[in-house]
Amino acid sequence: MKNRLKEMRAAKDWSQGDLAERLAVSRQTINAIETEKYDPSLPLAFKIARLFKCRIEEIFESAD
Amino acid sequence: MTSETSHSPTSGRPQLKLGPRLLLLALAFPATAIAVDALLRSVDYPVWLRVLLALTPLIPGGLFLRAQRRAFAHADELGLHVAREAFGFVFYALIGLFVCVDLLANAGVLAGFVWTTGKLVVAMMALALIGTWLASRRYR
Repeated sequence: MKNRLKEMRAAKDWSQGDLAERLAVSRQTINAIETEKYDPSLPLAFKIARLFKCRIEEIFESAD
Repeated sequence: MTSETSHSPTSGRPQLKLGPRLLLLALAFPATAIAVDALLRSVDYPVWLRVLLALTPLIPGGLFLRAQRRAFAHADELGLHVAREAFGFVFYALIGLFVCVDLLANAGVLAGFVWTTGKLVVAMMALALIGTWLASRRYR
């Protein structure tokens, strides 16, 4: 699954660690999501969307 | 300027990690079992002491399980995903190990090898550590 997490995080001027702290996950999890090695669970995707005040589809999109 | 790595030591939840404590406890279990076995063979202790000594390996074994349970409890969702992959690895690797030992026994190598509970537990612990290491490497 493709995502815009890295660019959205950069727009807020947050480090991976800052975002990890806000979402209560590890920095490795943020890195794995940004590099598209790991797809977050639905609750985490909602949490990310709430944090960035946008819809899930604006952050994540299907690879096909 | 955005940095890729955090410099804060307290950022977020920790990922599932193979800490030195977990590795040490994984090694302590077979070491204790071997030491107790040697002790019980060499000296003729009274029965109560033999029972006590024979059950001693349960202490590092229990501590290993407690440390692993704590690591799971503190892991975030990627950590739990890594743990699930590691358990899958243990399952298939154990089947592979059983088949390999059987095939080698048929070939006359390892003919005297017998799977005891101790060997099985040590094999599972070792495979769990290898599986966790391999799975966590994938998401690094």
